[in-house]
Amino acid sequence: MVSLQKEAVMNSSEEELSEDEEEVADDGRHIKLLTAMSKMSGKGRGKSQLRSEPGAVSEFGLSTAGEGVVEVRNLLNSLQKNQDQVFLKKQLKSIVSKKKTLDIPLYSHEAEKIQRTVAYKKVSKDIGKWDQVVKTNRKVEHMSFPLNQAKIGLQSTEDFAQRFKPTTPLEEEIYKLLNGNKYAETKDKELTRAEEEVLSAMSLEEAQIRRAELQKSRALQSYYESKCKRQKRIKSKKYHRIKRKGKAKEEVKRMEEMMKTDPEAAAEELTKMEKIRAEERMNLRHKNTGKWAKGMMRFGKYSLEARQKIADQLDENRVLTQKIAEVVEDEDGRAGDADRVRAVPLSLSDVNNPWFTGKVQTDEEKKRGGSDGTDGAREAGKEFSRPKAVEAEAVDDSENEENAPGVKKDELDGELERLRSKRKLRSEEAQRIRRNGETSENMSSEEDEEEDEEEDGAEGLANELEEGRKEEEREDKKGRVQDDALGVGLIDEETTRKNTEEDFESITEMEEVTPSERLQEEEGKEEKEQTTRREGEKSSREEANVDPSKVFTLKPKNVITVAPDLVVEGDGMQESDHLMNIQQAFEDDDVIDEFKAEKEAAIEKGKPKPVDLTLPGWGSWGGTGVKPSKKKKRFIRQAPPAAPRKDDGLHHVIINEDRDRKISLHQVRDLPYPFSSVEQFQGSIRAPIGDTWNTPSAVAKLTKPSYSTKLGTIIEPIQEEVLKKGANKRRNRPKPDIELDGPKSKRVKSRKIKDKRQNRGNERKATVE
Amino acid sequence: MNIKVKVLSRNPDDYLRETKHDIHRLPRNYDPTLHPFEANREYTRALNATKLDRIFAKPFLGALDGHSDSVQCMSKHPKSLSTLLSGSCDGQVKVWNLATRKCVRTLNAHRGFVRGITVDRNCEYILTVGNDQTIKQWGMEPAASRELEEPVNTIIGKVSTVDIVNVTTKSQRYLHRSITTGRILCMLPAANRLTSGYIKADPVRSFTWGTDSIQSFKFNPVETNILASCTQDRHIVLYDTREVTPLRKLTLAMRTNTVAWNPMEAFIFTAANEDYQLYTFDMRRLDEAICVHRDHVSAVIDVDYSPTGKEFVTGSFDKSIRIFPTTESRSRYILCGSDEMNIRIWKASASEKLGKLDKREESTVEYSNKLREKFAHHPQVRRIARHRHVPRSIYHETKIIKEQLTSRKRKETNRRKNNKPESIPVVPIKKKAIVGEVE
Repeated sequence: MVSLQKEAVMNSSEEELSEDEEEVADDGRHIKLLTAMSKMSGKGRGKSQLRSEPGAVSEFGLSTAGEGVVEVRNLLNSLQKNQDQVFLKKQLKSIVSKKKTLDIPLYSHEAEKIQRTVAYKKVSKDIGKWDQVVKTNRKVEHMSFPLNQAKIGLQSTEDFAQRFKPTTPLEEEIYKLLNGNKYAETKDKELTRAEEEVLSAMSLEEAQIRRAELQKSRALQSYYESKCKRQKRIKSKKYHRIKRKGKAKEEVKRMEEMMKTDPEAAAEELTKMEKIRAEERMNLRHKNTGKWAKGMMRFGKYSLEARQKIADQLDENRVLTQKIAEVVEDEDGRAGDADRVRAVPLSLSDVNNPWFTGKVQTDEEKKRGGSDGTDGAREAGKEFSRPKAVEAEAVDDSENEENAPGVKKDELDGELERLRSKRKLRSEEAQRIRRNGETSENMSSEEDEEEDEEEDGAEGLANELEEGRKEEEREDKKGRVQDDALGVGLIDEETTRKNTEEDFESITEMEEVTPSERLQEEEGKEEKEQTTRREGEKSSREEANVDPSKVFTLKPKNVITVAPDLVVEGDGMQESDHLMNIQQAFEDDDVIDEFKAEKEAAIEKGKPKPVDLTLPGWGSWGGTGVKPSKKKKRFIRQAPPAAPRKDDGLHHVIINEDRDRKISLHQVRDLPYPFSSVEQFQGSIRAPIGDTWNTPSAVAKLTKPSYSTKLGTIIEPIQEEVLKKGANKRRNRPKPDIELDGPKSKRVKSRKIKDKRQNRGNERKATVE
Repeated sequence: MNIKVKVLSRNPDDYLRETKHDIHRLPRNYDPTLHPFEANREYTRALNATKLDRIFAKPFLGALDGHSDSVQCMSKHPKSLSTLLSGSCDGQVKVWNLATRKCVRTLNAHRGFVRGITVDRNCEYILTVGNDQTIKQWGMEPAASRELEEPVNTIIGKVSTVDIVNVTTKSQRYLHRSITTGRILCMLPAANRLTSGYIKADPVRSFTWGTDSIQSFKFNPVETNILASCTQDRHIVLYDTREVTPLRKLTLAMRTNTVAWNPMEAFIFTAANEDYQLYTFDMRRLDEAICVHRDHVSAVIDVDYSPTGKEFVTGSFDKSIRIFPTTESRSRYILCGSDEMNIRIWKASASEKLGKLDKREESTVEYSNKLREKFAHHPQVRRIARHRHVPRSIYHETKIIKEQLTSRKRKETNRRKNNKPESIPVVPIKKKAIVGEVE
């Protein structure tokens, strides 16, 4: 700056010189020169200017007075706050703030360190892409190596269906029907598209109702289907027979209804029945000429059942071939009623038969029935097919009725009645057993006896009494044996069938007193004496070898056996003989006493012992003849009482509560690692995996190793394709609908592409042409 | 008398087989009441299976006899399961057929030790390195004449190279390390038409961090750009060939002899250490080992993963080979050998039957294996399964090590007792051996 000023000064002086060359200015010039010279020389140089310029700064000269250097920011301050100018300001500022020099570079090892850190982070992040694959591979239950094995095996239908593309027009049409159609059902949706449309057309409430209806109807349909399936699967012939019968009955009812309401339809039905009758008459289906029937006839001699069956068949034939009476509408409709009732097939297995409906008419009912015309007719119709046992019962019944009013009669009469009632009981029982299919020769023989009795029933009362007594005895024995064998009587005898709950309750109360005992109580004194004499003999014989004190008191167990009363026939002698044998065999062994002693020893052994803490020689004198001091007791510590034994209440067992060392060798002491609770571990051990307990497929699943390798193959390290596959899978997962609409959209796309290609081809062609 | 004959009526489809090759169908009732005591019976079966497993434990398959000096290195053939290559201390390389257990080919490759063998990706060349500072390239097919075989290509290096690895990436390259300089050199096959497949004489790249010599190095088989090397100064160094610099250095208390990468889990590697133990690391978290494997009683020299990545095998100076499950610290001991001139073939699971199994046989084996697994925690089963007759030296060493460990533990607890609480920190075993990480 200084030099500039100097030049300026010089210039100005020269100008002045050239402008006016007059002497006037000589002095002045000289002075100036002098001053300039003085400035040039030495110290005066750096000193401030002397010259001052008054007035405004001209464009040729710059004033340096006061501030010195002008900076950019000083200039910027003067700028106004326009938007343009603000922008300009910013730009200028940024220019000003830039440094001209660079920082000192880092030391090489530090720079490398940073580089390495960055690189490591980058690589670590990159390798993290394997995380998901590794995690799933660790968790997966079974891995098969090598990983990228080609899938061999039969194509499943699902796979095929997924990949299937309709090619022929027929296929396409079918495909359209199956997929595009709005009535087609889809896997994931409950309603079809058409249904949805209908629903959307309705109001919400309506739709809800409608949907509920639909759901209900579907549910009902499915229930019905499953019910039908279930019923169809039932193998029991009896069940189907009963069902058929039930249907027949319903049919009859319907007919009756129809008669009243719709006679025309009834007439039609009648013609149908007529037709059936004609058919029946034409063929010999239900006659006794068939092969089966002949065979049955042969057996008929021996078997009641066979006889029964043939009778049934003939009966059916009779029913079917019976002429159907023209229904004449009476005012009362009574005669018609009777006829119609006759039209119902009558047989042993008849629905109206009291033996099969599970309902026995009480006396009162019977009386009523007797007065009723229809019932009487039914009775009459039934009679021919009844077996003799039943007939006997009927006779009894009638007798009962006769005897019922007769209160005051002699003892003999009473006795007789009692016997009869008993016989009736037995016959009833026999009947029931026969129905259960448990007939035995034994029973039938007994029955035969009875029948015989019945036949000459009119013989002298005394004779009958004699017979009755014998029978009673037999019965008593039977009852006893039964009680022994069955515990709770399997067959409970009573005159009337149980119909209501109260009846059954009463049974349970009565069960303690067996029927035989009851009868005994009722028995007259003379009989009692006789029987007790005999029984006394027997019991004395039995009790001879049994010590009542050496018997365990065991709770009776309810052993339900189906052992029939076949043994009944055997007389008391045999049984007692058997008992005798056992007693004799174990006469010398006192097993029970031995056992008791053993148990006591075990208990004694198990008791906690007092602990002796005495130190020998401490606090007492030793030597012979020295009595043990009383102080010693202080050092014997009594053990706490033992916990109650498990077999305290059980007299017939000894439970060893000590730990079994042999087993403990095999037991796991600590809970192994992956299990969190003992129960869990126990569960894992308890669930068997072998083929003894599981189906082959389950075993294959359960015993599958965690990984398997294929023989003779090279297992390559995992490839990056796995990552892509995994990504694809993940992408596909949330879109289950893709399967439905996929092929369609794909097809559309492919078509588009095809179109494009074609277009392109056309273009090319065009250009070629 | 009534006769009631009940006839069994069966559908032939239920019991007849369709063809004579099918097995007969045996209907079974799986009602559990008919087959009681399932746990007890299965326990007995498991016990028997364990015993049988021990009875049939015959792991030794055969020996490959033929080297006239100790075997220094071995290599698998990348495409043939039955081919094995081995190099011995006298400079011989032998190619073996494992199926016949015969030596197929012998190469007098080097003077001095053969340090490394590898087969190239296309299975055209065998590459060997030796102590004589050369890398030799041999044709895969043996020479027609009975003359002494000559290498197709020989590269004379400036330093003695000790290991060679073939990396099967898209661009094939070979790496070898040098003992003295602590460098790993990367060589490439020439692209020239005439010498296609031959290695170029000059390395294209070298990796180095520090000056101490490199013990061994291994490439990651999954992420083939990453490699780990072990140096004499007890470091494990990670490199990435894509990066300019190495990645990270891990310092352990003692020297690591080898590392092995898990072929199924890209970021997992296991280091065989001089302190008798192996450490499995996650590459991304080097401050703590995932698992410490201990059973050896001397320095672990080598480790290699099974191709499934579920197990690895280790060799040690205690003359034993052990197989460790990847996630467990305890091993199966299979054998011990002496350092003679044999190569021995062993089965990985001693009692396994070789060859293709019958379907039923297979299912039985699977069942018994599962049973052993199920009842593995029962004392008797465990006792029988773990019982081995080991050489006396190993037996005694194991005892001593156990004693040492207990005494150390006792001392530590005592110190902890007699000091200010928390003044002596508890260092978990997974962190004990780690000295530090160098960034």
